[in-house]
Amino acid sequence: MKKLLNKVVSVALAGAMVLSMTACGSSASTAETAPAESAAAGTEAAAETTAATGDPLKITLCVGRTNDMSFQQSAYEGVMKVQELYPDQVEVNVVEMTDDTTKWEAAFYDAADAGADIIMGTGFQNLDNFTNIPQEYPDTKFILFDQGLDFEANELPNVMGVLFDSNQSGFLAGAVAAYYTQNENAANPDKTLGFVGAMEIVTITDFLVGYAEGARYVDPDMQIKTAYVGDFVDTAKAKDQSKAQIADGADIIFQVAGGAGTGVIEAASEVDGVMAIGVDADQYETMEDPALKEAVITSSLKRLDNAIVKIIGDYLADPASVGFGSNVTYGMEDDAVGIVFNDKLTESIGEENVANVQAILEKIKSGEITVDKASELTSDEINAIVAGE
Amino acid sequence: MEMFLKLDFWFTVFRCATPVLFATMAAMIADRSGILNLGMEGAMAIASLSGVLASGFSGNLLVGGFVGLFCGTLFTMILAYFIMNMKANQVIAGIAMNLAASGGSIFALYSITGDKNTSNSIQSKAFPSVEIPVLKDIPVLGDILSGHNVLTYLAFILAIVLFIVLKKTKFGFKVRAVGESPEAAESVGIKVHRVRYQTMFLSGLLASFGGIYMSMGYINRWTAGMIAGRGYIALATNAMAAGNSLLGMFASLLYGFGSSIAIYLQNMNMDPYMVTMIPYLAIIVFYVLFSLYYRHKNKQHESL
Amino acid sequence: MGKEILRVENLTKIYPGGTVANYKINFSADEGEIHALVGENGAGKSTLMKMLFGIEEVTDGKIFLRGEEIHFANSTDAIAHGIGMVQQHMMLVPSLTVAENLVLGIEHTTGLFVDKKQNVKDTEEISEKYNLKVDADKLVRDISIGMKQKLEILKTMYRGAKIIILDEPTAVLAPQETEELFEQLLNLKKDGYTILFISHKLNEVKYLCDRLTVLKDGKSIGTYNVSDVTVEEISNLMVGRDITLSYDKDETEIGDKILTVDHLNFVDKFGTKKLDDLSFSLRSGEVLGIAGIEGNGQKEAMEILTGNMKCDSGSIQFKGKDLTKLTIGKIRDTGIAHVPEDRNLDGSAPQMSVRDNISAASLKKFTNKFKLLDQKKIDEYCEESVEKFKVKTSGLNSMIKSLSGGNVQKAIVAREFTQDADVIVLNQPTRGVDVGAMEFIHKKILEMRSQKKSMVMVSADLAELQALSDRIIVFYKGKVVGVIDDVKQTTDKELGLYMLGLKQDSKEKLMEA
Repeated sequence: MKKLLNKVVSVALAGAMVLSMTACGSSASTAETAPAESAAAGTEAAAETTAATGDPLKITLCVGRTNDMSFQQSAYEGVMKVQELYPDQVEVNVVEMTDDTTKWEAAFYDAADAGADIIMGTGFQNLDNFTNIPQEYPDTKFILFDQGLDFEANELPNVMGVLFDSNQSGFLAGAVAAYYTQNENAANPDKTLGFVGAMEIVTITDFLVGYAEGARYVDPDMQIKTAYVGDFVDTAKAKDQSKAQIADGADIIFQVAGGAGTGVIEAASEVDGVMAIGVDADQYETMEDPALKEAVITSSLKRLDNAIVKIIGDYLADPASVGFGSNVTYGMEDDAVGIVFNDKLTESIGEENVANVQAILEKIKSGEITVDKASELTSDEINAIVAGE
Repeated sequence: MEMFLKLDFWFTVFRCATPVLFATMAAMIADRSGILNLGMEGAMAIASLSGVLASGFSGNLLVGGFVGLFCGTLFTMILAYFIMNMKANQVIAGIAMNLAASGGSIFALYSITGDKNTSNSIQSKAFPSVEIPVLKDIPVLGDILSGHNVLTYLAFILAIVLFIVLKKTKFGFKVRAVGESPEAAESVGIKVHRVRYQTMFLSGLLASFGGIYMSMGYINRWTAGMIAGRGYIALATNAMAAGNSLLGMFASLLYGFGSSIAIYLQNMNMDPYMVTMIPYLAIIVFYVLFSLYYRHKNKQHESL
Repeated sequence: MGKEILRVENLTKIYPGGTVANYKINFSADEGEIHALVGENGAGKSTLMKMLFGIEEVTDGKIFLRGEEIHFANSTDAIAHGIGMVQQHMMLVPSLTVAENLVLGIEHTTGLFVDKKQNVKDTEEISEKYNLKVDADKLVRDISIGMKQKLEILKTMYRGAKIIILDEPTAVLAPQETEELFEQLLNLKKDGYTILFISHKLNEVKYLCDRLTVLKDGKSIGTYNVSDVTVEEISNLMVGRDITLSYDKDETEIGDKILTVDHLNFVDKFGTKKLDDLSFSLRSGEVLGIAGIEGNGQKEAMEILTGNMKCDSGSIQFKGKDLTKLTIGKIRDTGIAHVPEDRNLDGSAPQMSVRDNISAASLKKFTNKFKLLDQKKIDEYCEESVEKFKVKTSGLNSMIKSLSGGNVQKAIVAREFTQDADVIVLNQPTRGVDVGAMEFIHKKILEMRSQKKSMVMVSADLAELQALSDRIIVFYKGKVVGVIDDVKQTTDKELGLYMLGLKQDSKEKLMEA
């Protein structure tokens, strides 16, 4: 009997091990490689620093993966840039937590226990982690990108939420769209633009508000068609919605729909003279299919890398200048948002218009143009802006 | 109302209906043999991914199509094995397999391409759209009915074939006998197990066609979660069709019609949350109407 | 009579659990013979038939067909050897037509398609040939039970059966239909077919069969020429003692109406009107028999009466209350007990113990002052019931499904008869139980009658109705069509005319019911 029990237990254990290994196979490998990479960037530097000025600032970035072609990757590039800029003063560590969000909490605890001075993470999935864990580590600083925190309900003096002015990049996207749709490259002379979002939530409508205002800044007669997929995955539906907008005269569509957004780009690629505007990453670069690539006129960007460089630079100069204990919004003035300027854009709207767009960018930077924020508007007000009323 | 005048609107109806029609037929053939196949969603996910991967790596459309059909069908046969040989509960086994498929497909994509969301890094092939000679020259009708994907035509042809098979062939009789009264079928020497494996095979094949249409026709790549419940809505359309694949065609077109309305209404700035309900609402309303009709028919039948 | 066609020698079936269902059974049947197999429930008739039809594996012994030993792997094998079986539960596909069912699995085809014309033609031909009339084009779900049975017989013959096994074929038929069936079976016999006829009804065996083999406790007692034995002798052989199904009833006073069913209507989920303005009443102290072919509303009326179903309109008056407005529990509290039609589905909880099943309806009586169950009182009550009602069980803790059908039924009767109810609703009280248990239950019913209880009894067994009832009403299409006050003088034939809807009493007479 006992023998049998032993057998059962050992089989069960073996099974559990196999399971856990497959489940976190990727994390096990990245845990080894990622620090090695970061070390490659800063080994000598770190060694020098410790010798020269005592303890360097220990920065740990925890992301799902560093190659998502989107803002996790942008954050990764940011910390690497920081390491390059301040080799003596910082020691950067990158943890790849895999896409399994259940493992993320533990990763943040590990980072805090390992004695990091600043811990960074991205995305709404970390809202709870960045609300609970910092309260247990009051001496460690936490920065959460692309997600605001509730500082009224929680005592979080050591945490900062970093938000981006998506409305500003949306404004530029709208300007690009307005220049394109009247252009001889466009499918029709209609002043109709398309927008396909994942869901009607503030993080997405923020783009829309900017898009509408940017388009009308260029030409007040612009009409905007909007559609929401309802989720982030139904690529086919996004494609159908885009086709419907194209049928209704839209020849450029801004997609803010996550994975489903590929459907928008695909729809654009199938009709001559129709273009798509990408989001979050430079989708001209991320699309491998040449047909899709050529349909991406530009992409709106969140430059986490620039934001990180700015934040760390400020912090090193004067820790008090960084707004811990609040949500801070970074925008165009910090180069934290923007759009892609590349040959494709120039080829599509012409050098003159590219220059116009750049001029608009400067005006936003300087504060000459202010863009409305969706978070400060009611639903009806947003609808009115989109409808041009 | 002006949207009904747009040819693209009607074209979209057929495009949206195609994957649901495949899945409806998949649910139907299993159902007629007495098996509740809930695994369409999973089979579609597996087929859509494996088709994209195989066509991408082989550079050959037909190889991709074949591998997609093979994997999706294999998936369904495993489900059939669980249900018939292991006596697993059909609902639980079906849902478990679907969950496994949704996670497994992402894992497979990641393992092979290092990407988790889409198969953008793979140059996969797509089934072509075809113009139907003569039909394409007819105004209006030609614009709506011609120029669809090959698989769309295949779906509608198969719906008619399935109708004839169930109604007129020996195999169809066997399926119906097994579904309605397995003891009766057994007593005349029909092998119930074998027939049910055959229908599950066909069910898997049909669902897989729906899957490869999604990633190699409807759109031309694979995205995690892209089946988005189309395999489940087929359970409703199948219920509405009551085992008749021509009605299944109608139910799928109804879903397509609802989807198309939802898509075009959004362009007219209707509330997106309300609009999203339309295709599902349409199915439910018609399902209720059909049930009432069947009931009424039965009553008349009895009073004769 | 022709030469021997089928012979079994020392046929034994032992189930994996060790249950011996058949032990060294010997019998033989000749060509052109109708051979009866009789025996109590659990005597092993079904097991024997299943082995002959290839559904059950033979443990030991031999089967000879035309002198050659054969082994069947499955029923298809048996069919191929010319043995067909009509099971009690019809093996038909409801949504296929009669012709399609007949040819199922061996359809004529033209190319890819089933040849509908040829199949219909075949059906009509074989139907004509054996004078078993069926409508080839009708859907099976729309035809009568009688026609379904004919179709089943045709199915076996279409597949080349020379030996046809019929498992209690008359259980679901009206007397006229039974008569018709017998006529056709006698025709088949003339054509050289061998029929193995399984039945409980000894007078049918006596009328129809040439020889009979008696089974008892899994063994064959012997084969007899029907003409050589009387019905009494047969039942003696089956049970091991004399059984008479005629009883001396006490003279009792029949009182006033105690329960009135008033204009009940009910439409089932398929839209069929199951009860059509049904009205009748029960007098105190009487046994009211309800006759009718199954499916004419008896079941629904009893279910509504006991609260298991809700009617669409109408009322049932009892002790100044309308029972249709009450829940099952409330109805029981007002004094109505119920022996349901299906002892395994509604009558008992098969997985639970004999104790739990017997005490279930009386738990309110056995609570102590803390409102907790008093186990001792329950045990006393159950032991007493088991003894009084002769429930054969190895103990109160045995699962009730381990008991034989007759004993389960006795346990249910025990539960319901000890409720001290004024009205007892009996739905098929002895269906499928052996003669011994039947006689016992009958005696208990008469005992309750002597105690001035009123009873409503639905039964498919006309002999039972005649033996026990004070009055019989006949249901047809959800209505009472006949009232028989003088039960002793009525005949099966008269009841049959009512049951088939061919005869109807005057409105005035029905009003009295």
